Amino acid sequence: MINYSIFQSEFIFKDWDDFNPSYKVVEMQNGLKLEVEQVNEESVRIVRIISTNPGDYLRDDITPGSIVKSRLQL
Amino acid sequence: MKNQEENNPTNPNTVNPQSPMPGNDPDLQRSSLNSLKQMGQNNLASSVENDIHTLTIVGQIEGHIVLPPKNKTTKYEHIIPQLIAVEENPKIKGLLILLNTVGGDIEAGLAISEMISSMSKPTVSIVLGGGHSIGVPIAVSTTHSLIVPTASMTIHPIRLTGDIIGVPQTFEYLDKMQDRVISFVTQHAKITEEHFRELMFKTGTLVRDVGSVLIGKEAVDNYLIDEVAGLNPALKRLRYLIDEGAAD
Repeated sequence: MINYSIFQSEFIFKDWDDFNPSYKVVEMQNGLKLEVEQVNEESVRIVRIISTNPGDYLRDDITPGSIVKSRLQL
Repeated sequence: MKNQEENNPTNPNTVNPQSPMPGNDPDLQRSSLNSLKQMGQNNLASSVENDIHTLTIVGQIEGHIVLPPKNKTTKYEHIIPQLIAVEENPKIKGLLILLNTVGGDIEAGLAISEMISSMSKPTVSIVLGGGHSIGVPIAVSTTHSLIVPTASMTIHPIRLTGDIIGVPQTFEYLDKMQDRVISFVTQHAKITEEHFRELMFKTGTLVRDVGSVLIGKEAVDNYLIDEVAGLNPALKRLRYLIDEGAAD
């Protein structure tokens, strides 16, 4: 990887060894898939939208970074 | 046991594979409150129609590697499909890009830059705060670029992360990667390759690095950015480009 940044790599990758994100893909009823990260017992953070429909990427209700309630226990 | 809120299929913020997608609930007030609690921002009234899409690119440009959470990042897998959506959506006439980035993954940054530059719709960028390193090609990739008077842009040579083999090929590889940035910038801004290289390899300006820092007007004087201005001129320019395109 080539990092072209004014920040030093040591600063960017600080805490890298302790960083172990746990992602899971959930599929919605309409076939849309979301990559999510468990935040706590009842909430997940949307990490990524997995869709071939460009319109899904403009939806504000599933904007990556949003924390939403989930019935799924990941 | 699931609580009552979790079992409510109309809860706009419930992700459930068995239920409709969040956002279908007409209870906008509740949705707005949730947004305020979770994202620290309020929803705009959905009735406000706007044909300009705003895209913010902030923090590190995140590419092939997920960065530790202390970094504020913009992920390219979020941006690239959004650009396709903007290009495809007939309701969107123009794209405004707000840029405040310290740089990041060279592949991701160039990918975003190429996508923006190849759009058919008018695009305008504003550099706010900083548009450093890989932020430079992104800033110049638009139809028209602006920088606010206090914003800065750092131009410096690229660096390799990880183990480096001490052979001439390493330098040649690094040089090739650098040429990708230089060629993109010089093709999309008025600056010449010679002058850009001069800025990139300048010594005596940065304390721990080689390169140059251009602040506000200096970026325009060096033919990198088109204009020193802020939000209103950016929107006026974008509106002008939209109207001009519609007239063609």
